Amino acid sequence: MKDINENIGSLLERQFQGELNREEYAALVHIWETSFPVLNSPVFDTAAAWKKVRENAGGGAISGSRRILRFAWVAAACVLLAVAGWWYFGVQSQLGERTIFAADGNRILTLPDSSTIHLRKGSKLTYSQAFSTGRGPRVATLEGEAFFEVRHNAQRPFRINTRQATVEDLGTSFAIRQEDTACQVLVTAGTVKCTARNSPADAIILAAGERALLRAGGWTRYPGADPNFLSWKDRTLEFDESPLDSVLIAVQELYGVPVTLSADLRAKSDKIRITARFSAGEQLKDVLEEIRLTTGLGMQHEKDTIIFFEQ
Amino acid sequence: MDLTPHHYQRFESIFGDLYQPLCSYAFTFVQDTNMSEDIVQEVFTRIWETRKDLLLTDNIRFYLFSAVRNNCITHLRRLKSGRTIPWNEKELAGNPAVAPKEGSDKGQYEQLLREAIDLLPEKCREVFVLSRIGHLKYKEIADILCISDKTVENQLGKALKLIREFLKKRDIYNRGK
Repeated sequence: MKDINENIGSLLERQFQGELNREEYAALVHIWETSFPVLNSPVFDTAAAWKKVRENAGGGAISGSRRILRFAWVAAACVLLAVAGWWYFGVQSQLGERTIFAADGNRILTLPDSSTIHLRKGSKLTYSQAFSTGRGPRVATLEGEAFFEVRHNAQRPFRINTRQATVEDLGTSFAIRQEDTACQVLVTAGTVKCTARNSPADAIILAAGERALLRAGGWTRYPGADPNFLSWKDRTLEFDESPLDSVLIAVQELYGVPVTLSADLRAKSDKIRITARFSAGEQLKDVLEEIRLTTGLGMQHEKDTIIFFEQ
Repeated sequence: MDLTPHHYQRFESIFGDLYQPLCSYAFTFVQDTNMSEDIVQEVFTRIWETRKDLLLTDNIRFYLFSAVRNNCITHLRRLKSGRTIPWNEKELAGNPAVAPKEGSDKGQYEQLLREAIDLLPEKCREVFVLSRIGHLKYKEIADILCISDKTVENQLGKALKLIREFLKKRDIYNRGK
């Protein structure tokens, strides 16, 4: 699925080939990014509207599920009363949580507070009722990988929990990659505060363009940006003197096709360097062809795996 | 119908995902929050009443944005034939005589950006807004607006350039004061 939000960069390149200097290019991308929250305001009350539409549209047409739903509402109301006191102390309730699972492909969600989230295929996001009620901190839990364009509101902090870390928005956009034992955060606009969940004193603040990794020993800042951190969303790849094996891993991840090296080549793969840029919408076969031509290696298909070998 | 609970879940989740962007989209036409909400709610109600089948297709996003657009245009046309208010007001929005509200730099920037978007030529603005908040494919935007894919790209580039020029001019204007 290709939509414009995923490739504004390559669109600008096509449109203004060579006409734009770096500064102009950055200015246009900045306009693109900042126009999103502007266009998305005012914030409309999705929860209230849903109530209305459900009644209008319901009639009697929502058969089975309606009855179950009504029962669920009564049940929910009882539980709600029971936990009301607890709720007032600001404890996050399990009630009204919504989980979104990107099963078939990347998903773009707009949350009730008008923040936008690009959820990578296979990832799961659960967010609390506070998003719809318009009160209290906005807290969500992420399993996997996602990019967040946050509607910043200093009164209502926006926090994402992963198994290892808590990431709090102090500005606008950031990405999280949660793995088994590590969690990586990249900030693309504004600033973000990252905290290790098991030791809250272990916190750092990241500004736009900065990236950090949380492991058992704490946070480590990465000096350079990784141009491919958001490849899954933007569908672009960029390599600058990158070793062949890491290039192939990136290609494999983006296209979801196994790509590997023959045994003899594996040992010296880090000596083969690649500099290339692939824009969104580039076909896998063209990407592979480019790699084949620049390295002078041979390429063959074995079942559904692609293998590079020395000729 | 067997599928109804499934349809209902899908309806609820699509509503949750798209209510805000659709209202924002309607707002760029009608410039009135209540009217925007009425239009979007009516579109959703109608889908539930007559086109449940669409809920389970990939076209639902496309369908919703087209329907909201059509209803907004119909609404504006009705207004225009009665009294000619909204379009005149829009022209005024671009007049520097309407001083930007005092506020933080960020608030001011956002206000200028909104102004710049509102002042874009009509087709250009439509392409820009739809691409920015619709999360649609080129083809879908082209179909909604009855233009070619290529025009979508061109207009989008043009929109960004025009906004940039507007902001640049305003920046100089503000500093000169």
